[in-house]
Amino acid sequence: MRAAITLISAAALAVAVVLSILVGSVWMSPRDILHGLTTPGPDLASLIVLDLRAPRTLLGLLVGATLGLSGAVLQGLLRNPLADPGLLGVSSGAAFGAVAAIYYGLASHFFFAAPLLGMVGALAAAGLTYAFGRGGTLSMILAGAAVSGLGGAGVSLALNFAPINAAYEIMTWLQGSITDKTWDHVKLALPLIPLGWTALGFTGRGLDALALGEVQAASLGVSLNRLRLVALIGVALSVGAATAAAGAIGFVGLVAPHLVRPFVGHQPRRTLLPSALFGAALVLLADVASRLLRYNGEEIKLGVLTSLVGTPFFFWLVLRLRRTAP
Amino acid sequence: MALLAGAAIAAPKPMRVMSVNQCADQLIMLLLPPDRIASVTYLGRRAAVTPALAAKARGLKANQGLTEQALTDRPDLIVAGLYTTTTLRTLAKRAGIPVMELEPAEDFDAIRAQTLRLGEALGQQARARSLVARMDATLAELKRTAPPQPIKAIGWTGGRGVVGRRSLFDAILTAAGGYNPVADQDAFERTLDLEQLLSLKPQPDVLLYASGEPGGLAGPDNTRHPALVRAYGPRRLSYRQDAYQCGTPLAADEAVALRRSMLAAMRLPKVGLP
Repeated sequence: MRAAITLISAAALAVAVVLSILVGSVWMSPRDILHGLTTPGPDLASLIVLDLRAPRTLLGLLVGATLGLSGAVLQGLLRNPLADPGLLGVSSGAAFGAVAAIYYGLASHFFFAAPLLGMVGALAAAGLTYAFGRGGTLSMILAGAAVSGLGGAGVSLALNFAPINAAYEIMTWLQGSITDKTWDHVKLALPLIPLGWTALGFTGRGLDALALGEVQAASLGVSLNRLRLVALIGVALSVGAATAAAGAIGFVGLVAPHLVRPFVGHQPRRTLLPSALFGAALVLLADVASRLLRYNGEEIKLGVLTSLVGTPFFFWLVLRLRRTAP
Repeated sequence: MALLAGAAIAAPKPMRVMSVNQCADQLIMLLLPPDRIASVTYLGRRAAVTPALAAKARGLKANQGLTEQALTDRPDLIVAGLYTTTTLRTLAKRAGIPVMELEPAEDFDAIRAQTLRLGEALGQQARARSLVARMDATLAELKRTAPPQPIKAIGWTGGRGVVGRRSLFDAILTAAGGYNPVADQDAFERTLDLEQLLSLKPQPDVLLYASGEPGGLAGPDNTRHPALVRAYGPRRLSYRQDAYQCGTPLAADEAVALRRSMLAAMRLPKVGLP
């Protein structure tokens, strides 16, 4: 069953990648695209596919996989089905860093100021959450909520005082989007995201043990503090880089693990890879939908769409928990 | 068109005038000597407006457009924009301070009418006529020396679309000898994403994009996207967004500058898509 869902996730991802390359506001047939890619010299098809759609697709894949994997790890780590990467304050730390770069005008001088400061914000937020919350699961969640609140307050403060142009840029960035992202954004996110994935990948055995309870995990030789630290570093690196490059994209980290869990069971380690693949497919499919769902000719932002689609899922999850809770 | 709201103007020539709107800042600084300006908005001090006016604004008292400031300063006239808060207008009226509202001027006729009307309200008719005459002379010279074929140019707003015909941008572009081939007739803006922009046929001669202000308050945008650079090369020209937002007689000078930079760009070899 686990192999089947991994294959299904991979197939869904492959379809999403193809759609992401094919679908856009300018229709180009696969033949046009192939011709453009194989003909030397400037060509509209090659320009649109290589400079616009390909980096957007790769970034969507990286961001989605990051959110799905992080969501699966955090739901296992915190033993909470409502956990997602936003819960530990990493996303809001990244948002605050990027917003500060926009607010202080650094972003208009140095193109990568926003994503770089976003990463710094994510790492700082993760450090703060760990420093205050390393005592246990509940304190980790509470520390994450506090850090999230701090990041949110910082963003609100910047919006409060931002001139209108900067406020507009901040609002746009906060909505989350991979539209018009360049290869430079991919290059910026690429070194950190796989590093984060690697760290998250090492948490599998510990998460399986933790599923039995904290005492049982400790008796099996799992260092909970080390597990939390590795998970937090993994989330900070990968989600920080993803958020810094694409803005805040919600609900994917929450939804992806729930979609795969019925097929792989409740052993946390088994959800990691399928969640990453499903997360990537979800983000890419949502991005394709965002190109098609236009209002007055304008795309709906990816983060807005995932929130719109994800919120009913969240309600369903809460209702299901109420039904199944003892 | 300028509208007078609130109480009637008590004095025929308001002595101290307060501006609570960025565009009104520029007009009253052009029309009035500093000693008759009670305050301008803090936005008027930014170099993005125009360096000369920004320097002038820095010598004046700044306000944040707050009602309390208006009531405390008690100017003889408040010049506001259409979107100035109703609280300020209502309370100023109650305090007996007249408020003059300026509508956005989207073409040179509107600039002419608004400047003359404001000049009259401020008792600065001669100064207003002189500014308008200078603007008209500049426009006439631009018309006389217009390029034989209009330069096809579009104003890219960086992600959302292109500037439409019903805008001051279009008036300045037209005066400069440009022609926007894709703008909607009656819209301020037409939505056009980057893919659609790249696939325009024929490709415009010049791509104009709004630049942030010096010192940088505008955030990242995609006017520097590699695909645009490859498609337009050096025929991407920036323009100062603030200077294209406020309808003042200085807009004619912007048209002169735009003509110069467009002609220089046209002399460069066309790169990018065939």
